[in-house]
Amino acid sequence: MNPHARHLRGITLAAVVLLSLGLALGFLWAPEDSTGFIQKIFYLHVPLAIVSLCGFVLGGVFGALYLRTGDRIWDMRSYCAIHMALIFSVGGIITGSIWAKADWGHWWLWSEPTLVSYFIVILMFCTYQPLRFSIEDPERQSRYAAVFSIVAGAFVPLNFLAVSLATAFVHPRVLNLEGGNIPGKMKVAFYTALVGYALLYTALMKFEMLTKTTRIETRRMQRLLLGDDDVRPAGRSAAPVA
Amino acid sequence: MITFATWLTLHQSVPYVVSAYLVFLAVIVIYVAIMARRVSRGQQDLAELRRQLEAREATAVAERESEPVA
Repeated sequence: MNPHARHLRGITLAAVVLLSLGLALGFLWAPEDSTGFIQKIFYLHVPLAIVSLCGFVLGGVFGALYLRTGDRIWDMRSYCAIHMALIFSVGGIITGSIWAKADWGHWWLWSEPTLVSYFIVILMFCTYQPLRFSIEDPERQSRYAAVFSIVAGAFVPLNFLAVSLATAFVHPRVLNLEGGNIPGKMKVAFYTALVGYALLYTALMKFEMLTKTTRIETRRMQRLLLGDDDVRPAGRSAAPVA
Repeated sequence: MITFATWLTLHQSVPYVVSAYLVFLAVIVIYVAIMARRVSRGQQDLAELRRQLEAREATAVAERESEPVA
């Protein structure tokens, strides 16, 4: 059994259950705040943003583990963690934009530090795949990508620390080191949704790794069966290769 | 008890909330569809490889049987 397929079904099931529960709690149980019904986007947008940022940091941690061990599995984990975090961040920024339009009357505010810093982080990680694609040698590609993921991953918390020190905010602050300022029922619904999205991220990341390892295994079998000369080269790829 | 229509008019923000959740659902569905296509293509490749392996083994067996015994 492929190691990436292990627990995949269980994690997926747990993600679906927790996401449904989080949705139900958020919509039916938790109270609305002063902004009204639009606040329900909170249970989608904030977990997506948090999970995506944690995913970027996780990509950096996996990159460091790759440089430390030289095991290519860490390179693939780093690649998949960043790829999934990018997908979640796209969801996060679109849902945030919709929320901003409904609440503030603008799709985007360049004067808002939290939005702009999140956008900068996304743009930075958008260069991860082109960076990999520009390097043909797989060994060098993995090493350079690992270094990038560590530097960019470290930039994420530093960036948000710098933003949190800024004074002028439009963007609400719901979470902080003291536990945030959201009421109890909303907090329960929020944390349920957050764990659900984290599990969804894990399940999709494992699914992607399963797909990639299956592709690598197929190519390995091709080379075994047909001989190296008969297997057409994989070509330049941003994804890790065997 | 309020009707669904009354509830909708009360909440002008409903379209925004619905579209936010739909956007996320669409992103996930598109991603899973792309991945599912790749998995299906991988399975086709594996099936083709197995077919080639079987054909090669069958040819090898036939060649061995046709060789004259010393």
